[in-house]
Amino acid sequence: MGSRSASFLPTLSVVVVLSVWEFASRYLGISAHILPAPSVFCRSLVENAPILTRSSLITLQAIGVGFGVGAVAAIPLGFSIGLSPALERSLYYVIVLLNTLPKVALAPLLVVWFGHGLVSKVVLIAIGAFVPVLVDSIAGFKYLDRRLLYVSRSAGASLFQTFLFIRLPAALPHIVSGLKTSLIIAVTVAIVVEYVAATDGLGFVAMRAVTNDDLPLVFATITVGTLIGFGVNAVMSVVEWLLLPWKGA
Amino acid sequence: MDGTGTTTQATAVAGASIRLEGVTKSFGENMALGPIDVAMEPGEFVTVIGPSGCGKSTTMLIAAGLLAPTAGVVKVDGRVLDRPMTDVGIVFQDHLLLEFRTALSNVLLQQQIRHLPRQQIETRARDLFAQLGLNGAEKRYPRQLSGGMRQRVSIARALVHNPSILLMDEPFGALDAITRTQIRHDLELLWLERRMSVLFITHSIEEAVGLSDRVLVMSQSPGRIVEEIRIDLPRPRPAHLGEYPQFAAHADRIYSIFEKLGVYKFK
Amino acid sequence: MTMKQVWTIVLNLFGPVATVIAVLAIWKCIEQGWHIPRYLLPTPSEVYAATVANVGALWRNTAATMEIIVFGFVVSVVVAVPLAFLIVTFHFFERLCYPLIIILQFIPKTIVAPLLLVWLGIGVLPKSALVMLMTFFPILLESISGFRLIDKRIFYITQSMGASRAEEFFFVRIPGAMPSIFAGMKTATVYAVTGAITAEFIGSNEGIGYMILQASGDLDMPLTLAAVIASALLGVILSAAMLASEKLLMPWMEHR
Repeated sequence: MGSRSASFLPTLSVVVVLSVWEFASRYLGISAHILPAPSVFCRSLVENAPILTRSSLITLQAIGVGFGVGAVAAIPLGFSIGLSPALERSLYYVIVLLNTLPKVALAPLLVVWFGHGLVSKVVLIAIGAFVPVLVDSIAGFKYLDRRLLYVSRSAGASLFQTFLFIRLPAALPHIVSGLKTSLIIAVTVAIVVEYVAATDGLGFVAMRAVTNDDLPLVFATITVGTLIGFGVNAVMSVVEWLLLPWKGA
Repeated sequence: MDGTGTTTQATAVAGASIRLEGVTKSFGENMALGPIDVAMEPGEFVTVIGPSGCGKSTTMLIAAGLLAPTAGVVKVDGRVLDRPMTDVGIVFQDHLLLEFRTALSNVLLQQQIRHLPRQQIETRARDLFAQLGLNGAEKRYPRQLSGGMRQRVSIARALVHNPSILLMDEPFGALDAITRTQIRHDLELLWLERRMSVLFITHSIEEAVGLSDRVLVMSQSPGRIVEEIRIDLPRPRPAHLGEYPQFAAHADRIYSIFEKLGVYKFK
Repeated sequence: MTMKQVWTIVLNLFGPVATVIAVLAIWKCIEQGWHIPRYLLPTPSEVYAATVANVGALWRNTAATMEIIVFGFVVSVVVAVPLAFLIVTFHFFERLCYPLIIILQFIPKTIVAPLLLVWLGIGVLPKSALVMLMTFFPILLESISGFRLIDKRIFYITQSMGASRAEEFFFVRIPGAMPSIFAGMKTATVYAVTGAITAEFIGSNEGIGYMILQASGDLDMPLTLAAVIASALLGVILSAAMLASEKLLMPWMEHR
């Protein structure tokens, strides 16, 4: 009975929601300017496929570069702070402030400084992605059972070996969870920059659709955004599975 | 219903009798327990001992009315039990204290849920704290207490409403050997003073012989009672039980039953 | 004072001071090295002057944003926590809701902002709705794990006390899940500010996000920076409030 009935109810609930939605917008006279039927915005999705693909790629490019820069900067810094209590103590309030700062507030400022292109997006995404990775890598490198170090020292391990065989694997679960959080933030933030200033990208397409009162296209961009969110999550799950085989799936 | 009809002294508790008659428990196809029959006299201290996974804990949950048997009945003072027993205190291996309540307030949960008079129960709780060596722990949270102290608070919670039955599922299993010996003695004194009926589950031969009037030895898959041993040592029993030759004899008997059951494989 | 206390204070001060000096130094270098026009890179004193000159508007807009955040946040908590409880308690409910929750969770919330604008017009509603959407999932997921975390065997003990379902709920489940619910709420505060500012960027005529966008549009960099600092303070105040209420409501926890 187990797995088949377990997947039945979820599928049913999705199907029910979509059918009720389709029915309501067709027969209950709900205007397509408020809630287009799934079939209507699916058509819009197909019709606008070229522009949606192009703008998604532009958004994804910014996410990729910004996320990469943020993560690459954060992990070594997290390593040094995690290993040095003095450094951690002294940077504690700076990190707390960085964490509570609403990064999107910087978007208009960055647009003035770096223009309407890729750079302002990348900078904001990098800042947004930097913080969670930093916080989680600090936690990852900090909490290590000291007895593991006694074991490695008594085995005559070099500093590099200790890092590679003990510290890094112990910190990896935290780092990966930080990467996951920051990737979601990266997508969220990228769209905000495109609202504010960009001349292309998914956020820009959504804003223009609203201005043109093209609600099917708005729903189509939301669908594409969801797919990006889904894809980005799937990539991270694969990375997690590759990096943390002992966690099991 | 809440079984704390005692408005008089905390010491005037009499135990209730418990009978398990032809009790079995199956999980799906799998017959895990029984049939077993247990007859506990009022005020008796009975221990069930057996290897891991033999159904000791299941027996206790059935006796408490918290788990329905597949077949058979549980009778308390002659009446069939068909709902969770409330004239009872329960202690598990994990203290199961609420982390967000202080030690005293964890004990007073009994008073709040049973709607008992606050003053009286708080006095009893403080007396129990004194008897269990918990002075000064009243206002501390569980995480601020040692494992032994947490388990003592858990015992206080199980006794504060003067139940006529105390059910304990490996209550000292997570404690270190030294703490275990002390808390065993403290429990014996509390029982001597109150004489509630105790069903005590353990896998420690020393605890079984050190505490009980009667030891029931259980076998594995399905769990059955294979032997009953009366322990006739004087009370209160000393920390070092080895000074009684009878202790060695009883312990020896349990070891040999375990060996016969295949629990131990000594060459 | 012991040496150790002195050392701790020195360490606590060192980081922030060093960071401020570093930022100022970089600021100066950029100004000197790249010959950035003065109006794009104001000095701290200019930012300070802009703050003083516009203190009324800064205060008014920050308060407007705060109102949106509190409204959306409260609705989010009021919906998410009971929903989490239903999901944990009723298996049927869990299987019904989980797929929708998972799909909705994948949506990058900010992409929904234009739609909210179309549906709810300009005003408090669409902005609070975005705040709610952004805070809902961290609170929901943490609450679910909080309700799940409770050791089920404690209910053996409460049943033997004769506790009713309601008593179990108020004496055990709610306080037991509180630390996790609060953890979710703490994560959600940053998202709440992000949501409010995003909504104000795209459709608003007040609020700190609107102010940042206007000032930057006018190329009034001192005022832009002043407003950015105000938005950062808003985040800090909300986090501090969350921490303080946590200490007050959960004295049994270890607090940092």
